[in-house]
Amino acid sequence: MDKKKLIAAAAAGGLLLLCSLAVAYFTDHDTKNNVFTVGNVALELNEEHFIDGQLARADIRIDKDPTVKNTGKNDEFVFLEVKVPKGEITLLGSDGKPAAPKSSQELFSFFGGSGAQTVSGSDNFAYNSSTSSADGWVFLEKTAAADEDTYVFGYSTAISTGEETVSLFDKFALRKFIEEEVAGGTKLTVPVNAYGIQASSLDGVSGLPESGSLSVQNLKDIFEICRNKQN
Amino acid sequence: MKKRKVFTGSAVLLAVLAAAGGIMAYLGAADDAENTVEVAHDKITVTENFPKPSDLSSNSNNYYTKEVAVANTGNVDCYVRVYADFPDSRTAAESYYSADGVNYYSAVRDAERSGDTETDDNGRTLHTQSFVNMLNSQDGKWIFVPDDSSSEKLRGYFYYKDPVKVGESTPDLFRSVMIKTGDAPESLDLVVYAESVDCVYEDNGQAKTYADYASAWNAFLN
Repeated sequence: MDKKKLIAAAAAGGLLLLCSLAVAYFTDHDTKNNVFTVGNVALELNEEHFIDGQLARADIRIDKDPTVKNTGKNDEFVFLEVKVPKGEITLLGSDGKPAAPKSSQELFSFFGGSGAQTVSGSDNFAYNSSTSSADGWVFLEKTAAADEDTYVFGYSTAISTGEETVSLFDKFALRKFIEEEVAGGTKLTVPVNAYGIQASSLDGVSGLPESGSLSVQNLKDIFEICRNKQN
Repeated sequence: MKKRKVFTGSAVLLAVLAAAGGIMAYLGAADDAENTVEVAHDKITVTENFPKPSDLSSNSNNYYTKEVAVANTGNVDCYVRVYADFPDSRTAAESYYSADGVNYYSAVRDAERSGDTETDDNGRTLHTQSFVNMLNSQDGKWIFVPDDSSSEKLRGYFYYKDPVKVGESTPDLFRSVMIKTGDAPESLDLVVYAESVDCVYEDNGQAKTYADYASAWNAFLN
């Protein structure tokens, strides 16, 4: 009987010690890095002027203006990811004649407002970029796959509770290509994903400025955390 | 009693640890939008009620039901035009179209041709006036642009003047034909062919609607 009590007490003690160690680590982590945050991070992806299911005709621009609004209680860094479908098409010039041999191409073009910047190396993706005097979007990366290309943009500064970004772009249009290379009536999707992460206490990212605009590398590092969080 | 306290304490600590593990991740949020569009296309089908014709009888007026209309089977409103003719001009000279099954007009594509009428044994009225002349004089929805029209690109086709809405169809261009035969009738063809053009066009990135069928076809044929 005494032996059993001794074993039980030892086991309980061991468990308690294990928990204490773990709690000590956790507390330590909390104290050093201030990860505990009061409040929450929430956002809304808005496309005020986009109507789902519209007909897409070549070169006719359709309103599509994705913005991100901070609906949480903390300042946030936000990102937008746009997936552009591709197809085997023969792009046509303004004269209606083939401008290039048939090949795998993105099916849509994107247009920003005045002063919009074109993604480097692209002739069909313009966006509302940040400038020295205005917040805006920063192009981070483009990933190519067989059936779609994925663009990622980060917002140049943190947005506060209730604030909303400028639109990433304002319109998009089906590119001009030989009829029926994409069958008429085909439904195409252009998914947009928004991500947000707390703007304070991002101890995993080095070189963050106290305030103001982030560098491209800052935004890439932060988005990597967002991406890992999603996976 | 002492043992129960030990285990209770351990459980509480584990619960706290588990909860803390969740909090320690960065706070994040996500939202998405699917955003679907449909590729526009104007697509039409010639819809004909054309029962299998009996053989031509010699020295007769041979009547056949042939109801010709055009259905919009695409997903955009469109203008349509139809080419309908007998490839053999000798056959056309002895043939008639009827839009109502009673009055038959000459199939000769002469927009100036008018003339007399006669009534045959079946109570049908035969007009030497050309079918295209009758159409144009009625100023209905169907119109024919004659071969000598100043609108060179539009010549030789029947045009439906209104846009045909998605899922709808034009009225019949004609409903029956009559072919007069002599002593030794030969087989013949009547060609019916239709085309369509979207009612909407692109102008500097904006969607604009053509003012009428003529401007739509002129732009398309440019």
